[in-house]
Formats: sequence, C-alpha cells, structure tokens
Amino acid sequence: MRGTVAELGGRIAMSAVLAAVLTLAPHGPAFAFLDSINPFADTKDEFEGKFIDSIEPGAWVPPLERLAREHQARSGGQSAGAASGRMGEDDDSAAVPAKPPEPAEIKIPDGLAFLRITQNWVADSPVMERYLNGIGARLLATSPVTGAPVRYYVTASEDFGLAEALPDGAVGIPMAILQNVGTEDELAYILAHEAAHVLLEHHDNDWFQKLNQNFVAAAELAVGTAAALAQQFGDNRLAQAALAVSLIGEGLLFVTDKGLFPSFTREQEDEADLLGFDLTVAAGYNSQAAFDAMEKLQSWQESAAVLKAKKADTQKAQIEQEMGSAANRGDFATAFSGMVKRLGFAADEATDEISEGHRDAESRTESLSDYYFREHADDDAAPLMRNVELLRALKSSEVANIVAGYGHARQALALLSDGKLSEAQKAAGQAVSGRMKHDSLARYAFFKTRLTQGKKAKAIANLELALKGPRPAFAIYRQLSNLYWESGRRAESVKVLESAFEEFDKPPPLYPDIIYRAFSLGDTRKANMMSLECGVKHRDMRDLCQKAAQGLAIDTAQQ
Amino acid sequence: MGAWRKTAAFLAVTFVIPYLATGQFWDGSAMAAEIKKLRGSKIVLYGDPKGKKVKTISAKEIALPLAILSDGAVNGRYQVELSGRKFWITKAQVKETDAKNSKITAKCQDIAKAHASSRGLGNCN
Repeated sequence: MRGTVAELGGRIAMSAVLAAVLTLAPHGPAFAFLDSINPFADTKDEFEGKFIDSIEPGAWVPPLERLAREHQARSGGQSAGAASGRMGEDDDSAAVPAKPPEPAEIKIPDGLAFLRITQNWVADSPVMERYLNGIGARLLATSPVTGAPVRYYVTASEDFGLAEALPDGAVGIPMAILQNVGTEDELAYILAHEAAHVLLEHHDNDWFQKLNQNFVAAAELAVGTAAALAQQFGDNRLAQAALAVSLIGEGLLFVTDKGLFPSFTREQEDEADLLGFDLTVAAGYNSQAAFDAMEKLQSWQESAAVLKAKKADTQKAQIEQEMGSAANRGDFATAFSGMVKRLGFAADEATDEISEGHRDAESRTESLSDYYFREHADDDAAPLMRNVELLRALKSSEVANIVAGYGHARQALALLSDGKLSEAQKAAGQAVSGRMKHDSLARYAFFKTRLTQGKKAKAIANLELALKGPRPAFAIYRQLSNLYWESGRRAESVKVLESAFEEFDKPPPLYPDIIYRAFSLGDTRKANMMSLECGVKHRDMRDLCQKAAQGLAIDTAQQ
Repeated sequence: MGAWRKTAAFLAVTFVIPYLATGQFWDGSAMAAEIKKLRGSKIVLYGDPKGKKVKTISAKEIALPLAILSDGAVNGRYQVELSGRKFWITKAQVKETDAKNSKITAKCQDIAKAHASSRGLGNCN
C-alpha cells in the first residue's frame, strides 16, 4: 500500500510541476489553456476585431466526427498522406484507403428526443417553428460556418433561461422566452446565442468528460473485482493497483467536473454571446435588443438563485434533523453518513462559484457592452426593431390554443396541490381542447387529476392518449409503465418501457426500472447484465441500478 | 359607409402599420425617466434613434442622473440633453435607469437531470 501512496504522491507532484509550467508559460497554447479555465478571464479580450471574423470559414462538422477524422488521420496518416501523393508515388500503402470511422463511434444523440427527456413538454407548433426557423435561416446565412442543421422547437418551459442547444443542432426555446421578449430582434439574439453553440461545435469536449466518468466507473468496478480476487487468492497487489487507478480517476473527475469543464462551459457561453451578437447584427437586427434579453436573463437568474438557496436550506435542515435523530437513538452509522452528506453539501457550496457553467448575466452584459463599444459602435445605422411578425405568430389560433392549453394544465396541477379536485378536473378538461387533445402536458395534468380522484383506468387512458401525440414526453412513458405494472398489466408495462428505452436511445433514468422489472419477472441474468452496463456507463445511477437488480423497487419517476 | 372604411384602411396602411412596424411603439422595454448609471469610461453619442455615431465623450463629462427626453427607449436608444444639445445613447452603455422592469420569475420545475450534453442560456442548478 505504501508503494501505491508513493506513486500517488509522485503523480500529484508531477501535476504540480505541470501546473507551474502552465502558469509560467507566457504565451502559446498553455496560455490559451489557462485563459480558458480561468474563471476571471474574459473571452472578448483574447482576440482582436469581430469575433465572427476569428472563425475559420468552412462546413459544419457534427460533434465527434472531427475527433474521429483526426484519429483517422493519425492512425491512417501514412496511407492518407500517400494517397494524396505526399509520401511518394512508389509507396504500396497508397493503395490502402484509411479506415472510415465506425458509425457507432460518431453517433449523436437525437436532440428532439433529448428535449423530450430533459424538458418533457415539447409543443407541436408548426406556426411557431416556421417563424423561429425563418429567423434562424436569416441568422445562419451570415455565419462563416455553413450547413449546420440548426432547428428550433418550442418547449412548455416557464423558465426564461432554459433555452437549450443540443449536439445535433436541435434547440429548445421555452414558451417563457416567446412570451417575454418584446421584439423579434431580442428573440433573434437568443436564437443566435443558441445557434452559436452548435456552429462552434461546443459539444465536442463533453464526450471527453463522459469518457472520463466511464473510466472512473470502470476503475471503481475493478476495485471491487480485484478485492474479491485478493480475498480468494490472498494476493492484494491487484486490489492495490486498482485502488490507485480509482483514486487518481476520482481526483481527475473532481477536477474535470467541478473545475475544468465548467470553465470550458463558461468560455463557451462567452463565445456564444459574442458570436450571437455578431450574427444578430450581420443578419440586420438591432444590436441593442441583446441588452433587453440580457436584462431579462438577469432578472430570471436572480429569481432562480433565490429558489436554489431555499431548496438548499430545506435539504440541509432535513439532513441535520436526520443526523440528530439518528444520534439520539444511537444509530451512529446513519449519523455519520448524514455528517458526510452535510460535509459534501458544504464542499459543493464552496466550489459553486468555480463550478458554475455561466457567468452572471450582469458580468456577461458588461462584456457585451465593451464588445459593442469596441467593434460595433461605428456601425452605419441601427436597423429598426420590429415585433409585427412575432405578435402575429403569438396571436395565431394555433399558438393561442397551445398557450391556453399549457395555462390550463399548469392551473390544474396547482389546484391539485391545493386539494381542489373538481376545479382541477375542470381546468384539465379545458387543457385538452382543440389541438391539445394529444398534448403531453395537457394529458399529464388530466392523468394526475384522475389518479388523485382514484380513477386509475381513466388516468391510464389519458396517458395512452398522450402517447398517440406527435411528441410524447419521456415522463408519459414512465408513468404509463408504472401504472400498468401496478395494475398487474406487466407485459404492457415492460413493452412501454422498452419502447421508450429504444426511442430515447437508452436513457440512464430507465435502467433501474428495466432492471427491476427483469428481476421481478425472474430474468436475473438480464437484470445483472443491465446493472453492470448501467454501472459502467452511468456512474451516478450505479447505486440505484444495483438496488434494482436486488429486487428493490425504485420510484425514479418523480414527475 | 364604404368610403369611411376605405379611408380608415388607407390611414391604417399609410400611418399606423408602418409606425408599429418601426418598433418605435414597441421595443420591449419599460419606460424610464432618467439614467442612473452608465457603462464604460467613454460614451458614444448618436444623432438620432437609428443613425450613425456623432461623437464619443468621456463618461466623466456626464452628470448623473441624466434625464431621458424620449418616451423610454426608442429603437434601443435613449434621448438625452448634454450641454444644450440633444443626443441618443445606446442601451449597451446604460447600466441602470429608474424604470421598474418587470420581474421574470424562475420556476425551475419540469427539468429532469441532464444525462447528455446541452448548452443553455442560463441554468437552474
């Protein structure tokens, strides 16, 4: 074990030397690297001229494909070079083409499916999508990166700040944004910011983070296996080695998850602000609308911070109460576990600032203002801000129907929490009118109402209707599967779950449900295999998967 | 009656719709009567709500609070008077006004934990 500790110490020392070299290096890639992880660095200070002009023109490359191409160029560089004539015409290897990347290696998650998981409710609104994608086309026409498959969808989200850009070019725009922007120019800036993430291929380094997590998960599993072997054969060298790898991996993961990647993300947000600004101006929109958007973002962010603080206080109080009662009844193991949780909370709070993926809106606004003064203050003329098309889209019967439906659905859910069942039923009934007949959020509100009324069959019918809609939410599949299971309709429950597993490309939250059902139906082999896959692929789900494989029902569907 | 309708339609097409379309009626911001804080050490002054810059002055030359002459922001600019001359200042350089901006409330619900990469405008965590 001493050797392992010494080895770990050596690695830490090497890391310290590397950090010192990076710190002392005044220019070059190391300097750029430091800038990219420095929480106080401002991206606009790292280049001269307009940001859009610093981007190399060319065709958009899907995430991972660039990495695959680079890998291909490295591993097959000789043959590729020979094929282009650089290695000499007599080289036989010129005849051997480089191995193309395997499709599985460059698979990009389906963005729309992802939105149906993270935000659940994606509206079916051809009118609004046409309008948003029209603005998008105008913005993208000015981009030096061509061919990016950016397309906008509307989500039911009531949160102004929760626009999301996905690796495949899908962008979710919350209804709250559409209802709060005053002009098309302001909306254009937000759409441009999200498009910029796609154009700049910001999702690429996420796969490195994911690989890092998988590496640690595999190392941790190896510790368990090695410990078992050590016990069996009386040789603990393997266990020590696995433990060392695991410890180093954990350390790396902490650094990447809490420090490096949030810093990269912050830099990416700055870049998206700058490119978004340039695209907005280049497309003929009024640049000042960006400041309206940022003002609203700041207001939303302040409100989100209050919510977060309240939630944290509740959780801390709960942990402390549990610790106190565990200690009082002499259950010191639980009390200790509570203490560890509480310390973890404190550590999370301490690293909050550096692990935040966005700078605060005021600081981003300051940067944009400086950038405007530097690069755009001399622009010829300010285009006139417009809102006519925006209002036309919002007032269309289709969008009005959706907005009203969402409003009734939210109202029904709120009334349910207040115990006002008959009023909730009325609101839920209004929610599913017109084109909202199969809408997931509207049907979900009706399902919840029926469930609270004890009418399980009608609750199920509402979920089944939602599944017939064009974009059923992830939550609908899970609730329906659970209700089928509780009603003894086990085959149907498994069928719904497995169709969701395929449709949403093996989403992590479904692993425990599938494992539990496999165990309950006597298929322990499948349960164990899935549990192992879950542990390696999704480290944070490992405990839940293991419990499910032991036959413990887990309510992971908390919608 | 038909003539009245035609006249009303003519007036709408000639005056009202272009006025709405300019955004001078609607630019999405709350009404402000005075500028309380500015951004940057130098302030760019413009001659009208959509024209080119006229000159740049030091922020120190501007006494705050500064009365806004226009009816709130027009096309993203505020009209002000400096040394007896009227200019326009962009929102980019106005850090704070006395306007009571409407609050945008966060709900932070409906969100499942992200298990793949996405990039947002802000975040709830």
